[in-house]
Amino acid sequence: MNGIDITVSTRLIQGLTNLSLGHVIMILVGGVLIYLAIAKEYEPVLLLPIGIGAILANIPVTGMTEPDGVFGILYNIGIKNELFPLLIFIGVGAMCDFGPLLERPYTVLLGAAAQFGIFGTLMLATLMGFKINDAAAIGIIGSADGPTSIYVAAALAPDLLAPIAVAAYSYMSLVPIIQPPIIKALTTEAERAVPMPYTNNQPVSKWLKIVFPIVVTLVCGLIAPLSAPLIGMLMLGNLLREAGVVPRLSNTAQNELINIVTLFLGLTIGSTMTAGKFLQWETLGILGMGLVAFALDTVAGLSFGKALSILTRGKVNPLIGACGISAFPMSARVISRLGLEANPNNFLIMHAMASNTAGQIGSVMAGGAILALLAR
Amino acid sequence: MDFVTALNVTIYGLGIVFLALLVVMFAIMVLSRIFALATGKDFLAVPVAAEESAPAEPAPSVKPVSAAASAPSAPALRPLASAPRPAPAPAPVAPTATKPAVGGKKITAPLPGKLLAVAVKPGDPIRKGQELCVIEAMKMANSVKAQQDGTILEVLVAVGDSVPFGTPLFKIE
Repeated sequence: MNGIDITVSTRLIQGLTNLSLGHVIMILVGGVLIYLAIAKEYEPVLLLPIGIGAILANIPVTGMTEPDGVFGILYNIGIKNELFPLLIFIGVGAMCDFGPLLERPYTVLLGAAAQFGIFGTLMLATLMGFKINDAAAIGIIGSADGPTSIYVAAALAPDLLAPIAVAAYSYMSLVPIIQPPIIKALTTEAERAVPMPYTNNQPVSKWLKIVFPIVVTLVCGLIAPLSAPLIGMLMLGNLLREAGVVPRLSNTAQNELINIVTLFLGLTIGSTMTAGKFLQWETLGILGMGLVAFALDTVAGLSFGKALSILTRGKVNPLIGACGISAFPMSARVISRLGLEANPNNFLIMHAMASNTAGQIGSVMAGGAILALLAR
Repeated sequence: MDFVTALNVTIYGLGIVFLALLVVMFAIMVLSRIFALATGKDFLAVPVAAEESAPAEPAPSVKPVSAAASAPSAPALRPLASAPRPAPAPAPVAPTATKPAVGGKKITAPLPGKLLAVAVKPGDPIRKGQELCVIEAMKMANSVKAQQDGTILEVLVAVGDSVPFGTPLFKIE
């Protein structure tokens, strides 16, 4: 009898007896993420579940992160096989209005230029000693797109998933802080003030909007087949939106579907933030490189914007190149605000949105290209 | 070693992305042309004045594709604004942008969107830089400011109106 009592009592406190400094630090990290989500509203929809996931996963001996535990199950059904990012993309596609892009076809190219951050960071990371697959997974933070980052990182470097996801989502919400200083350093007030007038006041043809997602799926799928799952889901969502005959599906994709999956995605990503994996110098390196990726994106996008501006003899404001990253719609809003600051009558918003949605396509293509080139 | 691989990934990766988006760009251009031919409307060009008169004169719809001529052609492309007032029927075609017959200047919508708020009323004196109204585009509120001093003669739109680019908003002097 006595023996059993002792076992029971130690069992009752084994959470405490197993608690290590690493656990405590990670629980604090989870707390910081929750603070950022609530007090600063940095992507709260994601950082809140990530924070809670991190706290739960670092309570010792709960078994939640074991393959049979709730987080283990979620990881296997949604992250390991990359299902969650794909489902989220249906919702993202249903929220994207490609109308401004379709009115200005040339802006599509801006979405390609601003992906340079991915590749620039990839090269830098290999120079810093990261292995090629890890470096690519870090570089993909520069896609400025959470689901794409998770999709690529889960395939190339599952161990680095947590810091990469945290970096991707944090920097995305920090775009209004990261981009303006870089942009202001690289452009003159006069360049930012260049007005871009609107010449089209007839909405884009409904049929063009319907055909567009199908064409993009085919083009991107055929050129980079590994981008087909992501781009296909994105464009499926967009087709639901534009078709006009399935408002219920479109609404579900934009609300219930994306919300539910985001909740589980965040929770599961958070649960991978265990002390052993997260508390390494590598993590700091990844967080740093993620910032570099965003900066390089902005620089490359701006440079391309400037090139376009010169080619069109000043009809294009170079600013809209900088929102060719896919942090949608934060980046477009930042650009629009910068344009207005320089010239109160310079409304760049629609042009910026066009470039920003192009970035959405570009970042997915870049993710597919990297997978095609590196995944076994 | 890894860096060389990374360099290759960069070259091929960026190449693939540019190639794909270039194809998408041309696809959009070709498709808009096809839809334009199919429906008789040029979706990428500056549209013709009024919906009703459009089929009768398809020529002008093709001309201004280069699209730089925004300001002078702006008054011609306001089907919504001119529709409710049948009286000045010849007006949409005539270049009465800066100097309408009534006198005073018109302030037109600098971007397409929905009118969220109007901050002035007829008779108000306005100063350069003063907010006149707020237009919502892509869920972002854009404040339209006066470009010169003057007086509001007439408010031509109401809150909630959808205002295409170039819609006359105010008459001022």
